[in-house]
Amino acid sequence: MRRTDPQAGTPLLTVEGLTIGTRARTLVEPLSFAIGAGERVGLIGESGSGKSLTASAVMGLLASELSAAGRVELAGEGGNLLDLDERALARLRGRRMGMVFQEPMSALNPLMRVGDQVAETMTLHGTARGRQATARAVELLDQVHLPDPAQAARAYPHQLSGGQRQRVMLAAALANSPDLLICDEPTTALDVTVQAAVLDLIDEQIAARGTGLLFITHDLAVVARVCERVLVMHAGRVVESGTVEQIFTRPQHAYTRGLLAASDLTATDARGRLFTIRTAAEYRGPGTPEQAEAAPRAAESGEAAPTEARPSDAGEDARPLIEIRGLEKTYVRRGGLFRRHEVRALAGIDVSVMPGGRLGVVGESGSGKTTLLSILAGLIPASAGTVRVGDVLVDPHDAAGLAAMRQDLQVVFQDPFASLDPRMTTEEIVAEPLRSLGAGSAERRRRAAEVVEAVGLDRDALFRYPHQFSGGQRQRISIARALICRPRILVADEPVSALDVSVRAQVLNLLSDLVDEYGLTLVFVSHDLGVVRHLCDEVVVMRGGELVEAGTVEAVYDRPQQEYTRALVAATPTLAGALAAQ
Amino acid sequence: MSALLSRLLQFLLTVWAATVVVFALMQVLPGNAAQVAAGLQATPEDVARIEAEFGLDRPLPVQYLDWVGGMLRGDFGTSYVTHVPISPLIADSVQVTLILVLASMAVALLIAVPVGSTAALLRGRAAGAVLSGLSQVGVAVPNFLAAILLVMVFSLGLGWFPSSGWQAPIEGFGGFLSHLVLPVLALALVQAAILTRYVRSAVLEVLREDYLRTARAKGRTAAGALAVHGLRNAAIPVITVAGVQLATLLVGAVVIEQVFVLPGIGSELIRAVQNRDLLTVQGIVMVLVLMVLVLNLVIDLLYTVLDPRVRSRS
Amino acid sequence: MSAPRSAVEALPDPVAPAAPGPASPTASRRSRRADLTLVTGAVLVGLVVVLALVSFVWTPYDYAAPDPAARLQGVSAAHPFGTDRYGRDTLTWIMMGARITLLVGLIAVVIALVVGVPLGVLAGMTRIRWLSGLVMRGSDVLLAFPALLLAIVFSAVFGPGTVPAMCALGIAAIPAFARVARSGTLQIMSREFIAAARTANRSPWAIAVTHVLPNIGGLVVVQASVAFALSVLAEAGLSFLGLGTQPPTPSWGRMLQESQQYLGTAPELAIFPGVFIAVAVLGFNLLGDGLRDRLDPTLRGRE
Repeated sequence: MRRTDPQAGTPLLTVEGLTIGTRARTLVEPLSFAIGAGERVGLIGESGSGKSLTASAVMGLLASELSAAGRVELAGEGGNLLDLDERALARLRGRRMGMVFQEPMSALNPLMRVGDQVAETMTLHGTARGRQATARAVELLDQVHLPDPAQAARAYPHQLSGGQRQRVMLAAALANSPDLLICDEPTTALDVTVQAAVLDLIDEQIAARGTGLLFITHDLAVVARVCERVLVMHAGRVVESGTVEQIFTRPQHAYTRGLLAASDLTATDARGRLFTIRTAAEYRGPGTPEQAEAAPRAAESGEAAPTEARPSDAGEDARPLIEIRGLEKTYVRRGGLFRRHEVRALAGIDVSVMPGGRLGVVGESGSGKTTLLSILAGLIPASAGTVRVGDVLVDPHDAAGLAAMRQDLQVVFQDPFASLDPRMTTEEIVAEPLRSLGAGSAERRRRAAEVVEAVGLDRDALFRYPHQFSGGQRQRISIARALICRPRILVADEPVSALDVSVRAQVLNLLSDLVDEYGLTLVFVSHDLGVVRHLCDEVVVMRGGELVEAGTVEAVYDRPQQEYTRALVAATPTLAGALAAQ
Repeated sequence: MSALLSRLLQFLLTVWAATVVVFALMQVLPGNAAQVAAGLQATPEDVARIEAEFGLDRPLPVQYLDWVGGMLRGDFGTSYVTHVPISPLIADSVQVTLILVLASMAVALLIAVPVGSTAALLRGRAAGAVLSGLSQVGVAVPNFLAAILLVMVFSLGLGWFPSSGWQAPIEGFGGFLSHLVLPVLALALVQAAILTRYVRSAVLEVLREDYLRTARAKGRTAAGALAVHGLRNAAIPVITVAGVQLATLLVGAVVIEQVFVLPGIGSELIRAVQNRDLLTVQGIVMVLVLMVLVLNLVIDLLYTVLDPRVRSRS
Repeated sequence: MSAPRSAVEALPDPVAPAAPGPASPTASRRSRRADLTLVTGAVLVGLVVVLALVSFVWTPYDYAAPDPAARLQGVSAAHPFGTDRYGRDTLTWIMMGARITLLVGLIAVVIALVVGVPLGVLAGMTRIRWLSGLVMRGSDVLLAFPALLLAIVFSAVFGPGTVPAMCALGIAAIPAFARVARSGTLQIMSREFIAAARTANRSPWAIAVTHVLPNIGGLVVVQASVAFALSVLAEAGLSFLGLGTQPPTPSWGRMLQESQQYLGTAPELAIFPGVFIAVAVLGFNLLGDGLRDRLDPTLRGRE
């Protein structure tokens, strides 16, 4: 415990029997909790659990078609906040309660200078005016560690990066030193290293002000790092609450245990698979170091698979299945009439993957990992260098070569909502790769049925449309499409980043099983180091279009040679790490 | 700066392409301009005389360059039919049209901005639906029908305003205004209906923006957030549309000038078309097209000024 | 090419569907309202279509035969909409006028659609910069000629008539279709299922036919409906100026023009054709709005 006992004195925020719903449906069942002065409470849950609605209700920011009942009390304000009118609520917001939202790109007014948006919190409540407010805003921007705060105050939001905008949001929310700060997934849209810095900043700023915190997130590791107490929400109910230590080491509710088990990528069950909500009973809690080591990783579990040939097992003279040499990619940006400047997306990339190897490509946004994948799949041309897949030199202008290569290499894409044509049935989607091979419709139907079954979907899924499936099911369809023409190589572009934790574990298990079963070579692109560690045996770390470090997963994660890799590994929140820090 | 230059260059290219299109259109005519101008009973000698007089016997590229060169100097040539120089005619009539169009746009905006915003805020309620429905009906009314109805009620019925004609401001400002009321209303009411729908959707769009929620989290009321942060953002698309709609008004004015017998550029255009006075048509069309293109340019530049995101991309 | 281009492309959609609320009741209320719009539009358009179709087999009177005995008769049982200065029955003329209205709209939309959509899809799919640039700059030039202005020019060059009017209105509507098709195509092409189709080794032609066209179909249908309404308005305006459909063929716009002399004495001569023009335009606009809500794939996915 970092703070004084929250039970002492009246709590800062008391929520009693809060329900939220539309006229027709209840979205949040009666919910009660309290936050003491300076206390940090986490609210965790998957999408649709009602956690963000709860935060909005406390702030009085629910959408107009939703209504809330129950009691919400803030120390020092008489009565129920839910009974206050907009004007009275507005006087509390920004003065006694501040809020930071998830999406840094849209949460700031694009037409207003950043400094003015910070100053607005003060001028609205009369805590500072005119020049004084402007000066205060610059001070606050300095406090949130924006480089050159005076300059930043004059910038427009689009001139700042995502992390910088979240800093601005924080400065605006904390300008009047409120008693309560509500953060709704404040770092979800940020890269891990930026996330770490913003979390540190939240930590530092609320500690300095003695501000209470309500922190909403889906990420258990993040909540363990920031909060003292946790409420777990599922389907509109709080299923469990307690201290971080209690919840994360001795979860009582099956859902909590499932969530915990599924998000722990270092823990696997007896068969070497990730835990899912269903298999979570065997889960023993976030790893003591021995446990993490004892648990076999999926990459090591497939020894029974006949085609598995790990690089170390292969002879010295074995030829890589994928070989990328001196790959470069520059985009030309045209500005105005004559100006053209080149943006370098990739520079001097050398990567090779042996047959049966599992290569992870990790990097933050802008690292060039997606560009690398697009070139590998023959979707965009390289500026220099070569990419060889099997016997084919990949060249987007060589139609015959591409056709041959694409029988060997297929891709699973990131976004389960954008990667399936909304106007096609599952059968049409899955069988599409067969059409370019000239397969007849009877054969297409037969093989689509086979592969859909192989990814764990019912046969009647064949005749439904994408919008009738959940995100996890859609990723299964995507995987089925990639596997239907029996490729040798599967390239996956962040296939689980848009999925909830519990679904993520299922899809990763499926991928892992299929890679073994089909004897696939895997190239797995991800920003999530934990996922790559679980699934891959080799990894390359990319940054700014360059290859920072490459090697086996163990070597790179446990003994990183480069400063950036070290920072990346350190910034990645893990349950065990966060608990140890508590 | 370079983006500005490139936009200007693009504007000039488009204008040039438009001159080619207009000139070419006039040449597709079955028979030639001199034949038409000389009339059906003309002898070959008459035609030849007109051709020689107006230089129509020269090669087309020469005629084109001559026409464009003249326009650059502000000289649109002399009509083959009426033998009157075209430039002064355009200069006089275009003023009437501009007064009509700009006044209509001002009135339309004065109606559309409050009505559209109200309709957006009342969305989902009966009053909002009524406002939306009215604007939907208004869009479907042709401006000349609106003109006829206005004349029936306010001129023939109530006798408040004259049903047609024009009085220049120097001949008496009251007369100028009273002659202007009905034509302006005819154009403005229909335009207001169109703009109302855009204002409504722009405000609705802005109401969904995250930054309004941020402003409320900082302590603005919902209405305050919309007023301070929302309306300025909503104004950008509305201004853009209003600019585009000015072009529509310009063409609408051609019809309205006919109804109210106003000496605008539209009336001159229709007269020239009826007389088959092709050089005059050519000149007037070019002026109208140029006005549309200039409007587009101005909107684009205005957009750049209003939106810092576009500005810094430049 | 440069930033300011976005000015016109960033135009808001005047009837853009509102974001669906988090709860289903809102969505269903919304879709019920969309259905109401759609049904109202279909009924109004249907009315005009029925009038036109019936006129081929039956009209109350012969539209071309003047009846000097029945001049300017006002509304009566024999002439429900009255008669004009030659004693011709207004209802008959309205029915005959519906034909021209629909014909002009239909031909104009077909011209614009057949030329504009392939050009737009091409501009959206091609990786050859100058090709898409050429299409878009070409449409810029054409955009400088508003429909009615182009129709007036055509009537000056080719002589007034229905055929030049249809062609001019069709040509003037090409840029709108090309733009809609292009922006729809660009949006679809950026989706991952296109990348998936490419890794499935589908040809650009197959991608255009199996993925792009079905997905932008809704947009094109909506645009067709809106363009139909605009063409009806423009044709009426042109005929009102006497530069569109020529006598003796009946047309609503010309009926309005001829009514002007009798505004004080026989207002019904202006009111009936005026109302029918508005009904046709309103019908096609509502149809477009309703279809837009119905066909919007982003909404479908969330239901």
